[in-house]
Amino acid sequence: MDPTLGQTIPQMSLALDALIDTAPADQLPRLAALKADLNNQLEALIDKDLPKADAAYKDAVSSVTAATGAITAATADLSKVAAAISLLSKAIAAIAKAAALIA
Amino acid sequence: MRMAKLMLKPSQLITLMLLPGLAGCGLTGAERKAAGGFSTSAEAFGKVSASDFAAMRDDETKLRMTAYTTGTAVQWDTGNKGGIEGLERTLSGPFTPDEVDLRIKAANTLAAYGTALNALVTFDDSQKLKASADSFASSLKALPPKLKVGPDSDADVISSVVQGIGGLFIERQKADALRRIVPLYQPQVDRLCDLLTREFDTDNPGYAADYRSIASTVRVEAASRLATAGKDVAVRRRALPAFADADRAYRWAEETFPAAKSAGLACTKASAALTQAVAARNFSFADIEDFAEKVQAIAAASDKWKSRSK
Repeated sequence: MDPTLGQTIPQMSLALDALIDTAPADQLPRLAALKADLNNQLEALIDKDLPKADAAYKDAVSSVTAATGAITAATADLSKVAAAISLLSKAIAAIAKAAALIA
Repeated sequence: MRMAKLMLKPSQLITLMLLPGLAGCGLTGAERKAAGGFSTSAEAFGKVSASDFAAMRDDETKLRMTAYTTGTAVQWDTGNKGGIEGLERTLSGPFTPDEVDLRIKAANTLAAYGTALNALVTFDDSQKLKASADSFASSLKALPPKLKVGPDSDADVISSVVQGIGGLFIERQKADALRRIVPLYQPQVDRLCDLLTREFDTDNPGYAADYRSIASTVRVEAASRLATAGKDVAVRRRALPAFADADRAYRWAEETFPAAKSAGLACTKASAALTQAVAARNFSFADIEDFAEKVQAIAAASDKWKSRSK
């Protein structure tokens, strides 16, 4: 069975927490802002039953999975934090796009 | 003395800062969605209705003037008063300027409620929120007693509830305000929605029925005169513009009023859905979406006819 946003987002959130605990202090504001964005998107998703077959939904799942990998990699190698932030931003945007499938 | 060090990881600290619970139970997604949807539609419905009532008043006066000067449907109404008052009654029919003004006030009060609720949900400026709350309170107090559900002191509650919203715990303040305001004003909002529903219902005696009736009468009479005018240019000159005005008014009534009545009914249902959302923090969005769709339909129809009449 294909992974869902309900499964992949919590993994990304845990990975993000681990990165926040190890990232340099100058990266914390950006990471905290992204975590807030993620929380906002989760709140928007609470009432929705998204169409899992839609391309935007699938794109959101793959973006979240890619971001989780990048975040985990960055936690082990802090030189990769910028790349992780970039993928995390894209994942949050993809979640927002999926959430918008049902206005 | 050394300060005690808070043993929290950065991720825990950030999580705590972002927890809605720390801010004290902010608006739920359901509440925000319900209040946002209802307020936008209520504001639009109230504004369109007020604008339509004003247009109907001007149209009806013109139609009655035409009818009177052509000696057709409208007779000089002297009543017991005669003179200027008799003329006013001749030109306004049963819905005097004061009666129409009352309906405009009711529609504007609904719009003001929508504006205030929207300012609360989308809060970005405390002055704007306070001003919109005060405006709604003033509108409510200016309603005649027969349209008021609660005492005047209720009208001021919204101003006091939104007073001072801002700062660190803004989400909790917004939620507290919404949960106080919505149940308090629901009976009043329902009363306004009911009034607008009745007034736009051409099957029941009300303003829309009266407007449609005079438009229909003048339209038929003018058409009849045109049909029998033959080569009488003087009759044609009087009857043709009368027919054009009455026909436009009649078709506007036929197209717009049923949509407005539907929007009024949807308004009542959406108001109940909003109260349910606030009480149970959960609701079906269908009624509020339905209200929004009907308001869009009436706004589009109203705009179309108004642009044609210019």
